[in-house]
Amino acid sequence: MSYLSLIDVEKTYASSAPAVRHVSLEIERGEFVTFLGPSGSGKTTTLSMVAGFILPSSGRIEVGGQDITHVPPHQRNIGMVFQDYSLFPHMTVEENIAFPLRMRGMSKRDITSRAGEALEIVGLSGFGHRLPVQLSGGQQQRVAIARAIVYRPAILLMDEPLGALDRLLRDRLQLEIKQIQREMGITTLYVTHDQGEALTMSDRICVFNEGEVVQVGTPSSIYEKPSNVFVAGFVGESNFLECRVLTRKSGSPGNTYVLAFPDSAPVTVQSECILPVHSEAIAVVRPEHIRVEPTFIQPQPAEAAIQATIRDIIYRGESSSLQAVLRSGQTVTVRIPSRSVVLSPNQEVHLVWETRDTVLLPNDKRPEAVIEAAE
Amino acid sequence: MNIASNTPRVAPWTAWFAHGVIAFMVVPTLLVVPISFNGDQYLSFPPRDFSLRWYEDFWSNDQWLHSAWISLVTALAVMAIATVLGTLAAIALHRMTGVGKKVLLALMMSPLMVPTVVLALALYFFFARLQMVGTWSAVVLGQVILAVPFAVLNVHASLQGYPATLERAASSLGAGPVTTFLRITMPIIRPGILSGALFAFMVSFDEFIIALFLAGPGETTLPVRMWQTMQLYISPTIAAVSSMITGVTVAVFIASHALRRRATRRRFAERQPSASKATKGKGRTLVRNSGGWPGSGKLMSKEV
Repeated sequence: MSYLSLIDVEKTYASSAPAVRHVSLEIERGEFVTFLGPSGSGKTTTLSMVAGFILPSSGRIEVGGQDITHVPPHQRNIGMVFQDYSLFPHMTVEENIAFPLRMRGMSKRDITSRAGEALEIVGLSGFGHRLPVQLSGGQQQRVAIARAIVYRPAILLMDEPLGALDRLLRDRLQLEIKQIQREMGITTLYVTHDQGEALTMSDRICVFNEGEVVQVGTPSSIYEKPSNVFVAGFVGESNFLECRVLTRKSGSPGNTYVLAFPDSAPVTVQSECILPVHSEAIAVVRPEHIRVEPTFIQPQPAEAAIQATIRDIIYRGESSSLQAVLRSGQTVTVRIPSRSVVLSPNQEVHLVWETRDTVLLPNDKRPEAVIEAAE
Repeated sequence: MNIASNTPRVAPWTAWFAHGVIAFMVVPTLLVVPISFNGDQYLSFPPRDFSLRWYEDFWSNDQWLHSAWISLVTALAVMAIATVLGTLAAIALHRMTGVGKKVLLALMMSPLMVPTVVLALALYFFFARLQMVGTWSAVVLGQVILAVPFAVLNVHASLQGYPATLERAASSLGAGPVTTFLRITMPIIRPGILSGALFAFMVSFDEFIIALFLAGPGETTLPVRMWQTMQLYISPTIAAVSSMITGVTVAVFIASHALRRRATRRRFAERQPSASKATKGKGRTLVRNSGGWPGSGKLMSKEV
């Protein structure tokens, strides 16, 4: 039985299209679930409904089997961390952390010891008498986290908590938040538009687009088996190669397809996706799964190869990003280790990848990325 | 004359002109002070001998003292009502958006635009209907109309930097709406409320027209008493009263300024010295890393 349930939750505004449509989610106790999506995709609206700041237009929200849809936020026993920290500027760090405990009528002694513990957890012991303005951004967000967990809320909600911090600090806090969450076993909903953050921290990721949940799954399943073109394009980098289904052989665990690419021999791919023969499809290949070979080397049986011309090589530190143009004019991105770059622009090459690294998707909605690349 | 280098060069006559304007604004008021210490029977300048007799006259005259007392009580009542109304209105305005907000703000400010005589006359007819002309309550309510805009403006200004998420944060932490207002919103906007209250007090304390129209014979406020006295003969006692009122006004505004400065200091306290000390002193790994990045002051910037 799940702990937090969103049952067909919907939010509509009079003036525009629904902000959130048919969101249903089951979240286990202690789970870390990330809402990932571009801005305006409905992830923050959904979080605000769980927090109680926004009333859903329809649907229900349950915690531990109890309907909390109409419970006001201050009676929900949730903890929330905001992007702008939202520390009370007129209170010291300690008073900020003590605030939720005082609201719960705890004794002075308990408050002092609990607040001290919370400060220790976030590594700010000795900062209790500071005012928020006397702390750096990272420290302020640590205080906000301490304040949100000190009363052991049933659910912790985090709305882009690291969005205002610089990258190194963000990477560090990601790990710390994850560690605190795991140690306390606190059920957490985390909103971000940073796919790297989502992949690093989450038990499960819930990808939002245009007010709908488009895929829910573990980080690896989201990354390796995106269920649609949007997820493939939003989570990690992807190349979208257009192809046509030549034959299909049904079987388990998946169907075996033979695909025709414009400038390549037919490729055999396994997929759980059901596509009719002769239909247009999109083969998704991650840049790091492609390698570059000289044209005279023939691909192995379980590999696909496409002819291309190198256009540009961009040095990116640990790896280099290589832009290659297919005969069709489409640009393909390849990620290769920087050290092994012995290539130069305008060279003719084969782009080779193992067929099992191909994700096959129906070509129904062409994302911007595909259109852009085709131009 | 070595002025700070960032002051732009100006032609000398502009400085003389500016000094002239300032003198014109201040000197007439200040002239009253020496006149009030005059020992003569009549208002005269420069004073020939120093005396406190007009102050003594004021403090030993029951009518003057009664008027001063009425003025004080009226001003306190106006201050209390206008501050509560103005604060609530400012908070409502802060939460509103769009055209409604602009219209409402304009309506709230309208007492500043409408000539006070017109307002006083309108109130006279209004209160006549209610048979309230000549009562203390009518004076208070009339002056509240003049004082509310000041309370609204001051509180509204102090709400400008107040993030809406603070209230959400408070409610997520378990505070109901009333607790949130008393513990979070109020303390943060307190400087604005206080200076609004001081403005409201001053508006009432030296208000003349409404008091003249609406007050009964038993509720003569200080400005009205001064005017009535002047009708009979120009007594230097008026200069003494004027000096004291000026003194009170100056004191109130200095107090309001000090309050505001204290609030600003507290909220935007310089954090460099203490923060760097912390990173050196308390050597926890987490702290050292979060405080020690070059340019950690930029952490607040939103780079999304």
